[in-house]
Amino acid sequence: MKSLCEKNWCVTNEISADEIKSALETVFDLDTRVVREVEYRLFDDPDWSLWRSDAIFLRTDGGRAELQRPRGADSVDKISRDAKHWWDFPEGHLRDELKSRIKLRALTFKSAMKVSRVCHNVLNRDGKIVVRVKLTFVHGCGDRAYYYLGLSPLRGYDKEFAQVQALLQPLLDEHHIQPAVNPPDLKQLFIDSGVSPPVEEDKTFGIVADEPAEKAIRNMSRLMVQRALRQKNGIVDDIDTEFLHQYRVNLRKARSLLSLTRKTLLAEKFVSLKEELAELAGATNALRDMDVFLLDEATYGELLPGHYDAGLTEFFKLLKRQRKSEHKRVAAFLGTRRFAMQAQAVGKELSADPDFGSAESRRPVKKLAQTKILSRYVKICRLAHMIHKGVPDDDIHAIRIECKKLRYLMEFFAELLPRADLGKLLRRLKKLQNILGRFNDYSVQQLFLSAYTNADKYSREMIAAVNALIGVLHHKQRDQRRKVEAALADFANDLVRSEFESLFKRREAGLSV
Amino acid sequence: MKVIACYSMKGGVGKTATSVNIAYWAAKSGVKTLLIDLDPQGASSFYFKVKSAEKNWGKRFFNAYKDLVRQIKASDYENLDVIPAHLSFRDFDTLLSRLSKRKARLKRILKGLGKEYKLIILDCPPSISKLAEAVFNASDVIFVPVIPTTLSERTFEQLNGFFKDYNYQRKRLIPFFSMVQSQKALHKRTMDSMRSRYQKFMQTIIPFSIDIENMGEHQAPVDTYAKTRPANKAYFSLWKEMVPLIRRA
Repeated sequence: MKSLCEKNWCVTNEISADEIKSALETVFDLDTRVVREVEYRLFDDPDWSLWRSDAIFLRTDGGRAELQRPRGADSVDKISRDAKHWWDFPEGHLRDELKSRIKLRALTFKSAMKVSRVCHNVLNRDGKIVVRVKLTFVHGCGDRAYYYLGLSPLRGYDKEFAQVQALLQPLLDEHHIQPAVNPPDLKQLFIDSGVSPPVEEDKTFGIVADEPAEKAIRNMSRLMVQRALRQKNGIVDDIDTEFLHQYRVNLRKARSLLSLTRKTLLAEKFVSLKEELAELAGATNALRDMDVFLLDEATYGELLPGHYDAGLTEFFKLLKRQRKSEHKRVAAFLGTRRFAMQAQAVGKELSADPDFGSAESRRPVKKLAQTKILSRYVKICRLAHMIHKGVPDDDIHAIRIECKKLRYLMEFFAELLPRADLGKLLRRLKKLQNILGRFNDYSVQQLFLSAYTNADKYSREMIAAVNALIGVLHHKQRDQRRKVEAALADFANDLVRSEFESLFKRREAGLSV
Repeated sequence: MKVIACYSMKGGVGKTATSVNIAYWAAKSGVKTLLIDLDPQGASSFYFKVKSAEKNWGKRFFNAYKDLVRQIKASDYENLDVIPAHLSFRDFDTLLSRLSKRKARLKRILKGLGKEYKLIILDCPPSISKLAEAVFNASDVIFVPVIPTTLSERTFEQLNGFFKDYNYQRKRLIPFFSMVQSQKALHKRTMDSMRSRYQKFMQTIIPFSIDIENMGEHQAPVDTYAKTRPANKAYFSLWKEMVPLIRRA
């Protein structure tokens, strides 16, 4: 069956019902239906993930929320104004789509526009609707107002559609028609009104292979610190937990890069930078620990039998209260003069000219990177071979830290290395890191929970729930350990080893596995 | 896609009014619906203000899907299209008698519409003919309006007998009371007696109503001009009762 195509035009000013009526009256009658004005408020996460993935999230009066995609839309009604994460929405398609597209990010207001739609039914002499004329007026977004005229055909009335178009042509000519998107959807209306996401952040560092190492390292660290500091307002406004997470990740990476290439800097400068960065990040440790725990609230609820519910609820209530006050403290810290001065001092030092105080500082950065990466892999293999059932957990944690350093090194210098080969090795490493990461998480979570078992401070129910949770996590950690051993053996095998050697030029680096 | 028919051997029992209002409610519930007006009188086409554009096209009705598609007209309501009747439809029986596999013709021709429509409603003329048999074959459910009077009761019994004699599945026949005047003792008695004999009678009763008669004047489903009236509520209730029956069929 042939599909029907609307025709649309962008017109320079409003066309009234009387104008349309008089244009058509020799053949048709006009019945005007006024549709109310709707304000559409556009929301997206801080990275504009929805917009960039061809979707838009809109909220209208009465608590209606709608996610529009090219293949259709999902909507829900009576949604609280405070709903901003995927988990704040009722179960269904919309929630699932948000979960996969925005993950842990929050929806924030981006723009709004008001759309008035007037529908004129064009009737034949039998009073039957044969064509629909739609006038759309968009305003409230940017300085300009936009008018669109659309003709919707109805099945079986092709002749009448052509007649209406011909009768309206003089009117369209008079109103200086322009081509319009067919049909103008809301995203297009936002685009026409000047809404567009900011340019996506460049994730690379712009370093070149033979650049002196100190110059490159300073530049890379400076960019990472800048990325961290850009998260400040989001943390203070407590938009979502990702702002703090990104702040910490970038500072940690900058610190890690400096540590892993410490000989490229003068010793005293390295020590001072490392301390400053540790202080900028350290003030947020407690808040991040609480965030991590609260994000998994639902999972913890599922780990324990129902009779622990009351104790667990009490624990999470307490944690939320503590998080609130911890957030206040962190927000205050980020607003202090001391913080501003520290951040400025770090930026200034990293932007300064290189000292070139060592041979390492002048070494081409690509060669330095290759040596560092291969030597780190060699170290991991050596440690992995020493892992067996009897070794303490601390040895596993040591390998986890080495893997993290290797991952950072590979990612820091990714732009200097062949993408496909590096990607393959990174995927192997990530798989191992996920297993090691879970092992560590169980350990950290048990430690975190143990602070809430003081009988003088907390209720018996809550302590029982917390202890039960510690027990479950301990059991999970034991299970995970078996997986760790297998994954380490896999990562240190001959195949992976030869791939590392080939990519990072064993001979040049002067190392053997 | 499901095909339902509104059928009775007897005329003036409310087949067309039911077809029109059920098509309207189905479409309003978001179901993409096509109403096919098989009655050459063209009453449901009239109610939806649609006319056939081509002369004497009825002779091509059973030939090919593409011929049928060309006759589809949009109604004034979203999700609802209509194939209007034509006077030439009066020759359907002669046409069918000349065709091979005539009982399956309608079913085959409607199959192609499944891509576009979720529900097809056949508004049938009052006769027990070759066309009626094609309708029985094509339909998943046949809704039968019954006025609770002696003659209507007899007609329904005849239809049941026909289904039995010609091996049509009787479970597809779903009767409901139509044009009921509850103040009449005869209507009450007949309804009680028929419900006791035929348990599959639908619960909803369509009352005799001036609002339904006024459909001709308004050329529109009852909901558009008598929203709060009992007749409108009855049709909506009938649609809701039909939904699980159609889904199960």
